[in-house]
Amino acid sequence: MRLTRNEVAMNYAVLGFFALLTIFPLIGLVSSALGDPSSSTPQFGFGDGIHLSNFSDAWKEGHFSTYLVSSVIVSTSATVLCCFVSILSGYAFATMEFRGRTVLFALLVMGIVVPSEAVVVPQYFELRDLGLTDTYLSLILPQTAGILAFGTFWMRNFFRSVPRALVDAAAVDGANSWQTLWRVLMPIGKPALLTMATLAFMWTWNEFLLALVMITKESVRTAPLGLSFFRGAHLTEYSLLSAAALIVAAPVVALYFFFQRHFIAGMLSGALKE
Amino acid sequence: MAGIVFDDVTKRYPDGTQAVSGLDLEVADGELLILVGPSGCGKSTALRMVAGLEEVSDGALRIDGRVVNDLAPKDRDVAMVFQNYALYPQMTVRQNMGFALKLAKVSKAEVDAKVREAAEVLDLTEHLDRRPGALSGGQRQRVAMGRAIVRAPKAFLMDEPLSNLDAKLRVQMRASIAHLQDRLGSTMLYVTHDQVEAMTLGDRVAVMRGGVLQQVGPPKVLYQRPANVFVAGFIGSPPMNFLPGELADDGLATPLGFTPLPDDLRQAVAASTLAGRAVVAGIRPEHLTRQRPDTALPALRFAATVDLAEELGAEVLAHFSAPPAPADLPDRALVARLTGATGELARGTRLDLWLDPHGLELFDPETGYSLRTAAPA
Repeated sequence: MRLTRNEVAMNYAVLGFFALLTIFPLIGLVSSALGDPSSSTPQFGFGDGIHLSNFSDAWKEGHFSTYLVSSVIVSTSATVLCCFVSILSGYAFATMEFRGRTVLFALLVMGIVVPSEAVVVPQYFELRDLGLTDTYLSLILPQTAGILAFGTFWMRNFFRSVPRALVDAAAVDGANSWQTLWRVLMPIGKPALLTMATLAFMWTWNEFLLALVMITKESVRTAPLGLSFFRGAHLTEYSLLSAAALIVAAPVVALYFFFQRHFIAGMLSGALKE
Repeated sequence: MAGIVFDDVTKRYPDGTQAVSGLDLEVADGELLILVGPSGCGKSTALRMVAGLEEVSDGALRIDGRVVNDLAPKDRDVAMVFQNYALYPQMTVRQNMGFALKLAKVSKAEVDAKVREAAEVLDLTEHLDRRPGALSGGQRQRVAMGRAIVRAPKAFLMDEPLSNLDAKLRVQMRASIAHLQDRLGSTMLYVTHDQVEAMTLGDRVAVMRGGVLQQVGPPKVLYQRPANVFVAGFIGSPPMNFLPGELADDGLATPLGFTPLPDDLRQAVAASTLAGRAVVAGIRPEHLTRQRPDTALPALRFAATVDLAEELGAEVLAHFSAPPAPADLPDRALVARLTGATGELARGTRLDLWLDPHGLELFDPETGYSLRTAAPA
């Protein structure tokens, strides 16, 4: 499709506008984080010098080393678990014939539209009965389940986009379902999988409500929860707060940049018919 | 190596459509049998049942004498070449070709030796470490063949393996497949919709239509003695001409005029219930000639006006219309394959043509069966 010059200009204008809207507060955050810690108002600009010490202060005072470790444990476990199960369920829904496949899939996909806030209270009671509150599992299990609906949907779409003949060829070559999945399909599915893993990691990393409900012990506190406590203790110290916010956001941003290329490829895969 | 037997095999889909109906067919050990037919005729389904990719609804399917209906694809020891090759994109040519052996836990050295050997046969040695994406269509096709060859399976199944290649490459590959099959002496079931491929490649050809086997036989028999109107029209390019006819007095009245019938056809008519009735007459384009055919019978001669002349070098295809002689029959397009001095043909040229009575085929207008071959029950 060819665009006229006016259309191109329009595209840039619209995209530029929204990019500015997104970047503007981020610039404010960075400038505040680097600003004078004694100032009691948020700052925009670097007039009074760059104070990198805000980061080390926030790191020490907020115990972010502990919280980040908790977050890494929770997000990594939930992401790995969710990816693994989504691959298996997506593969089954896409390639295998079994009774009730359509109904089951419809039920599962409904999970995408159920907000996690709606189920957090019953989840709390359930996990408390199991004695799992205040543990990493109380965060890993519900989040894995929550993302599974999307994950299954996503992986099923990928498996359906693979030419059927490839699965047939593997079958004739003597591969069983398990070998077909891991040796033929998943090597092709890396972009789809990485996209899903990045999304899952981002969602679990940023999860706040569940952590607030399930966790009371400081030792298993995740970073967003820790940030909220930190804010309570330093309400007006904007430089310190901004630095802490950046510390908590950094891993996800880094991850996104790292996988950006795969991410876009994954988003587009299957969108175009070959 | 082993034979493949379809014993009254039927494939029915859950929605009730019948892709293959009561197929009885035997591929002998070491034979190259071609399954041909228009798209949707059930030929690919039949092939996929042999591979184990489709379940058999009814009947028995045997490979090497053993019923394989309930056997998984991997336990059937057959190799398949797919229309779009279905190469594993992430693997190199070497890995693609060795994948099946590796799964079968063949030792690494042996896999390597077999892959090397097959690559040599197929002229792929220099491409062994490339991925399919970096290969041309013809090379990919050869890798797909190689993947089948290295396994030395009981039977090869080919699903329109050449249909994605350009015309020239297709002719080349056709020759090399025939050569390869001959050299390996392997049983091969080959599906195609291209009747030229079927005619040139196979020991025997099986023609299917609407899930039903129409005729099996050597290419020449299918061409010269088609069992029914469908086979007659499907095999041969340009296809057989069809004319309405009326049987009378040891001969046949057609829109082109009255033609006598040779002895064998007269006997066939006498043995049928169609004497004195309407039939469909078929005549191959090469049996409409400019020279008087070599026969003692008083052959039919008629005048034709050329609508279109297709110059093919060694021959000319002259298209013309049959005069709508008896009553109100519509004009029928006919083709004559003319050889020899034909250079001056053009639209509007008037020709005197002969109809060789020995080239005639007669078909029952209701069942479509040839009068020569009694209709199978």
